[in-house]
Amino acid sequence: MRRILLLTFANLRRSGGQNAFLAFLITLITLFCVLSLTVMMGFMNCFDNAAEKADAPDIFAAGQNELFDSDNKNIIDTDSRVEKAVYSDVLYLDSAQITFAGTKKSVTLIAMPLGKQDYMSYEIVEEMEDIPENAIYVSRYFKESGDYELGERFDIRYDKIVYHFVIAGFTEDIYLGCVHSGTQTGVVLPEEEYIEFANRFSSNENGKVADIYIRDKAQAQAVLSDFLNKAETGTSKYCSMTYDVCRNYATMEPSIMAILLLAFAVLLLIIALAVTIYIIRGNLVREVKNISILKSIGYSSNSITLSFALQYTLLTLVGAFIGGILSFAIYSRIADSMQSLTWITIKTAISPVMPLCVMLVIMGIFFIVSYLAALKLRKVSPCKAFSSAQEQVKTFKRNIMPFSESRLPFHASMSVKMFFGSFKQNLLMMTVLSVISFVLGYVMVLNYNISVDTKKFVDVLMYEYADITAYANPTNYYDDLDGILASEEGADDAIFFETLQVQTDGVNMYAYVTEDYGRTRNDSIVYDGRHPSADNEIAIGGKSAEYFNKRIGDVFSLESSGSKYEYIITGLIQTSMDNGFDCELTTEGYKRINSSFKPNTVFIYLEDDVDADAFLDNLITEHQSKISGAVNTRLTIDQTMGSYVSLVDGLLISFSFISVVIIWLLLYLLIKVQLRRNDRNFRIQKAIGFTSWQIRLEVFLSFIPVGAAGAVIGGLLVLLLSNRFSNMIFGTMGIMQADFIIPYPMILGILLMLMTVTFLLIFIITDRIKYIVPKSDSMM
Amino acid sequence: MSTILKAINVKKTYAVDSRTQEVLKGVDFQIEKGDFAVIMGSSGAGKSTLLYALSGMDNIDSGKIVFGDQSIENYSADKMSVFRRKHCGFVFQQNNLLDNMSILDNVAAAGMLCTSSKKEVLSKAEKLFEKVNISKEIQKKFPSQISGGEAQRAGIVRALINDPDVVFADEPTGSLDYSNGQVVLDLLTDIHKSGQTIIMVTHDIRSAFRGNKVIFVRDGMTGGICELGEYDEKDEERKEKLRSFLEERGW
Repeated sequence: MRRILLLTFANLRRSGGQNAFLAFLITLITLFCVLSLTVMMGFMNCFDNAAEKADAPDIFAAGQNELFDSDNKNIIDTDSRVEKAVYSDVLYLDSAQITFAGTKKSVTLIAMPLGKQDYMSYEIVEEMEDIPENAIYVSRYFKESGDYELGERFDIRYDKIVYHFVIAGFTEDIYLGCVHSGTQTGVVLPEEEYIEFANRFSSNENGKVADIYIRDKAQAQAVLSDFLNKAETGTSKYCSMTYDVCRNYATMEPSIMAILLLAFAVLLLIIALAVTIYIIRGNLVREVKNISILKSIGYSSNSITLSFALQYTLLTLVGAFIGGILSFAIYSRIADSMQSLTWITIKTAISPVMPLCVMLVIMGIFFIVSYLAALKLRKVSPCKAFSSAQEQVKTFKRNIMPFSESRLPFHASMSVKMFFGSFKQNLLMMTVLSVISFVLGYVMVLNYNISVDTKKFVDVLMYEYADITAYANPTNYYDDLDGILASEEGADDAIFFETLQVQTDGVNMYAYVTEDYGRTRNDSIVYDGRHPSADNEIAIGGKSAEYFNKRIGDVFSLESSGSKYEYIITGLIQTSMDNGFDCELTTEGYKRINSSFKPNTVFIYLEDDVDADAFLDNLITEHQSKISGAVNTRLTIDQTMGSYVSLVDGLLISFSFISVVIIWLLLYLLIKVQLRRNDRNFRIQKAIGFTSWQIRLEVFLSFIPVGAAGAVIGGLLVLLLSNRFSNMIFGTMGIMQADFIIPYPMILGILLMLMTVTFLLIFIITDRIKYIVPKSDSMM
Repeated sequence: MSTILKAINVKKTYAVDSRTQEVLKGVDFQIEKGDFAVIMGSSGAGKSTLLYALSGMDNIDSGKIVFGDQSIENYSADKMSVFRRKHCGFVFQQNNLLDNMSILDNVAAAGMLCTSSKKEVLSKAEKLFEKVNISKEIQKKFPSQISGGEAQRAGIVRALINDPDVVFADEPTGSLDYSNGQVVLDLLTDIHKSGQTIIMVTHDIRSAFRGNKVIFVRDGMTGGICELGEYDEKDEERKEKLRSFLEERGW
């Protein structure tokens, strides 16, 4: 072992630049792996820990009192799978409007009295010393991302009346902490304020929250579905979710970022392995005399091979160790930015085991790869130690571009020969440049679709959306409210569009319901087949189709009140809502399940250049008796997109910077190795009269196809694969067929920039040719 | 005959780590046009160092090297490259052909440095290949695919392609067997007879015998010059003169 280590350290002492570059790559790989895996696993675990600490239920359901009348409660209480169910009185304000980060949002607001009810799945994390009048406690999310502070005014607009409160504290609530549009948000009021607030409403706003604990947590979705299936909900408004759905929703954005980081780490690993193989092969050629000498004095092939493998394993150890240390240093900042994307305090930390595991895995991979790459030295004969023949003379099979037949200028012909003379190495460089080009190009595609022309991205993220969303006044209901609002000046069209919950085979799903899908505006939803048009037709989410093993043309059943209703699948849809567990029904189709259904939500599409805020104000003024409220949906979407924008912008900057650094280092390494490989030929050329400039020009020209092809191939990969790559990344969210815009000019721009940087670097690095002298021992 | 190359008090020192070694300690001699000068000496005497200094492949520390009417000792690396391509031809012990191109292309690569006419270069190469007896089939092969003798002959063609003023040969038969070595020496003798100036380094007395002038180098200095006259294989007096010259100098 000692003699192997002797060789290993001798190998390490050589080629400091190569070693440093590889160690740098491995540092990055380890860093990204540790960060991404910690986020993926840590956030989930942390959310679980917070939920356990808060004794969060397995099922959360809230709704108007009708939802939990005695008969419905009995369904839960008599379910053998239910361990216990706790009911708390609350105020249930459907479609209340609050301001979040300067934008109006429509949420289901659930107000609870402080400390006077059994629902305790929240915790006050910050509180004023002196509680003011009209106090209210809101989710910590309002502070992290909503620009609120203690003591600030907090308004709730409901049924055209604005209620003023002052924030006395912030809470953390597993189920009610979110503040996205269309979700439920919880607020807590001191008892006096709660009673005063409640007195302002009719019994319609009285509601209940049910915290349901299940014996077997895997049965949570089934229990919820059964309850909603059997319960007489009538026209009662309600919301419900299982813990798993809540957790997935809470950790979605950090998970996306973690997946992207991990994907980049894998790409870097592939590059590092390719470079390692390249370096080892190059070293075997360069060191053939030394290897033969070692063999002649008694070293076995296995010992020498092991020394190569150990060299790279040690490098990996160093790089991974540094990467592990860095991950501890950087993680707190990553965690802070991730924190702002969710509503629970996520206090994750990197487990010491994580970097160790990552390090061991990477070391194992490098050991195996470098060992296999070095096996070639078995063919080196010890006799070569005694040979005075030139060892560096390579064998070629074909004389590329003979001068007698070439039509290119002389030095161009020399460059072509040089290019093909190092074809494998050039291929490696081209591959790496292609990968880097693809990464940069793809991040540009994401950036463009998320922050510049967002329609395609929003289409798949948000399902159908309009410019303005209005809510019908249930006490003054108009069947033709959509027509009335469509006739408003500035409105292009208006349709009833609902998002409801349905059940099938124990699974809760979102159902989008509208009369005529031909009037919807989002073309990206259906990626296979068509929207439903008849009352016995349904389109289902791609993830649902996979889960239930269904195809277009199959029968799909929905359940309600113990009955099954069959529909024919006409199409497959994609949306990130409920991670792809959703479906489309016509209004008549849904009425088969719920005959008393009356749509409540109107989507209003505005004409171009219409001021949405002005339209909204006018709408509320003109139709205050017909609608209970309306929101500027476009603004809400922009705010939601904001978090994605900062995510992708951060990725763009860091990936671009890292990519350029890697290209520079890699080019430096590969060109240096190429120059060393061709050292003999360069010396001969200088001896017979080539100047440094001529040789440098030939080398530069020989790298042009490499740089150009790398960028072009990378660009083509962006054109051909970026949407497939997006499907892979966003597929877990339910997006099955991304159709993002490829911004050709921007891609071209970034590829040209990459090529320019590459050529500049090549030109700079080849300056070392001037130090090659014609006279050397290798020429004697 | 006119002087084509003159070395005046040429000194050269090598430094390796902290150690220095003075290899040339003041070499003086001159070569006339048409000479076949042989530089001889024992191993480590500075023969090859002197050859590379004379041809501009290596710098000197002091002294002068006058090539034709130019003092070349202070030329920059690139200026020296240009000078070499026009005025010098090289035949190395290890033929030193470029391994990524055919024999013909090796010669053409040297030829194209001095003329842009590919036709002219290829025509010249064809004649030279014929002279050294290298067939068209061999010309298409790579250096790794031909014998040592063929490669060395190709090296001679490359050295001659630009009609150099001087051909510098460093132990041209050192890597060859006896018969191939003889072939190479015969070629050098032939081109000398047609007027080519040759400076050859050797430690082989049979090779030295080909020259008309032997310059003995010892301890980095000129240890004597022996004028032998034109080469005649059968001239025993000539052989004896050279032997005596070398024996006197401890050879």
